[in-house]
Amino acid sequence: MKQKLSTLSPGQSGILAHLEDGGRHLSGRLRDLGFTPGSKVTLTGISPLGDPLAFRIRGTVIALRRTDAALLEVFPCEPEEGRGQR
Amino acid sequence: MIRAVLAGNPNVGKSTVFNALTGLRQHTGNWPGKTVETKTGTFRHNGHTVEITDLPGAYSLRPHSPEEAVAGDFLRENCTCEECGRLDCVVIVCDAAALSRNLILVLQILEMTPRCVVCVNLMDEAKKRGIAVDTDALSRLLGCPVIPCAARRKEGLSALQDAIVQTGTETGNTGMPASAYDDIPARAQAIAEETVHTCPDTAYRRDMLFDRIFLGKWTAYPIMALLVLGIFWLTIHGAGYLSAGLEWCFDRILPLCRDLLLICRLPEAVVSFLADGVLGTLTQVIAVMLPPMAIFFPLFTLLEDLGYLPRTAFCLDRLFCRCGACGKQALTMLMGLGCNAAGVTGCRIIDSPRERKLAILTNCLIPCNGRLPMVLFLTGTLTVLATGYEASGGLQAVLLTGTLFLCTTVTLALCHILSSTLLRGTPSAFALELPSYRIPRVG
Ligand SMILES: Nc1nc2c(ncn2[C@@H]2O[C@H](COP(=O)(O)OP(=O)(O)OP(=O)(O)O)[C@@H](O)[C@H]2O)c(=O)[nH]1
Ligand SMILES: [Mg+2]
Repeated sequence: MKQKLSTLSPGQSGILAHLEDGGRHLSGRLRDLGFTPGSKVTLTGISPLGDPLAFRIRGTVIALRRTDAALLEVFPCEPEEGRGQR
Repeated sequence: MIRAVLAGNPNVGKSTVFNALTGLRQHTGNWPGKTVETKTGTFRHNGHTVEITDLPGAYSLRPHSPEEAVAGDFLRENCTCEECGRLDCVVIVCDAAALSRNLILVLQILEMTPRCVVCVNLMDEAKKRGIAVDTDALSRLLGCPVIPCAARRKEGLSALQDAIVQTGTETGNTGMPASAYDDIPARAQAIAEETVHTCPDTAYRRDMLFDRIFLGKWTAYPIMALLVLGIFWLTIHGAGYLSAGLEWCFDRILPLCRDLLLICRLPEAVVSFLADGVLGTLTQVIAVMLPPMAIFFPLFTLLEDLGYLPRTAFCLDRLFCRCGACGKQALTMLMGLGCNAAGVTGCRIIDSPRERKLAILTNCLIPCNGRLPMVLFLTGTLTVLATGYEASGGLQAVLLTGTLFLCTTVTLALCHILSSTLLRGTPSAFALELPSYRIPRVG
């Protein structure tokens, strides 16, 4: 089941489905940061104020706002698969 | 002479490699976007002179902001056009722990020119995390030399120099072997999967532990306040001792100068003017102004090297977003605390021109290092006026932290006003890399 990247729960991982451009030229930027279809993302943290979310992707941690993360879709992994990694 | 250039993603250690190769002292710091301008240096190796240029980091050759275009344009001009410049070797610096992402840029550059050397930096850190990189296999897959390095410990540098000289003097490199993928990110991932071996359990344990403390829901802000308070406290206390020491020295030196002037048989008025007026004021200013700066700056650099600064942007983004600005402004404000000029140039990390203008315009509201003694003086005097007692070091630190809090509030308010009047607009997208924590190196 596909779901929005912003709806992952902390610690949960997913495989990126595809980029949907919200008309703000974000998708090209996100591709260069490693958010490409097939990559594994893990939600590693949430800002104390609740907004930017921190994702581990391809060995780096990238912070995105919820509205931007909602432009991406993931196939969530089973919880035990989703520990650590990449 | 061989002309080489250092390219790569932000915060992979390009400037550290540059310093290690040339012996120069380009500024380094543990956050993406530290280097703003290109800098050139030279070194000699095996009888060849190599001129090497340090570029600002870029995530891609397709620029998303004019500043990021600097690196791409430099490479494009120098690699593809024969007359306007000739590059003999492009050194692409990578983070061994994030090869999968770094390889995207590597592949983009390799498409432009085969004269590349890939430097897989931060090997020491990767090893600690249980990440192993098979550089031989990587070299085969990319068709260019791949050198493992740990620039901060100066490991692998002579091999890197060999490779630069070799690539720069020969037409040798075979170029990239053909691949099944035509999509660069997918190909980067495939290559990384083949050459990087990660032990997922240990890889990010330390970073996650630190993040739980520094970014925790209940701990983040108290720690932020405590860090600022701690730095101010150390600055004030240390500065007190240093000032006293300096004054003691000056007290011995000034009478000597006075005597010296008197020996020269200058009129009394001139001697008084020079010794009491010029020298007296000068030493007074030095004794008061210099110590806080001399202590604050190194302390601040420690925080910068730890990798904490981008985390403040992460914690505060929501507030800035509400005021129509970008969270990265928090980072530039902190840099402004060290030096407003550094803060303004640091604004390059903000992609949207509107938000960048906001950050540049309001940076002056943060009292920089040089203005701190002035603020200290004011808070000190005001305390005496209000209570009749002299403020202790601790109270001074609290007052200074309060001043910073006030400045931040004013900045936010001004951003809010500006973004609803002169610089109208809604917040744009936000993507910020949080670097891994690194133990600051002293010296
Ligand atoms: N442990 C370790 N740390 C390193 C190494 N090389 C660089 N660093 C650290 O990594 C951080 C970033 O280094 P810089 O040289 O500023 O990185 P850069 O690529 O020039 O960054 P930008 O100018 O922002 O693009 C600094 O804190 C360095 O001390 C290394 O080999 N090992
Ligand atoms: Mg640099």
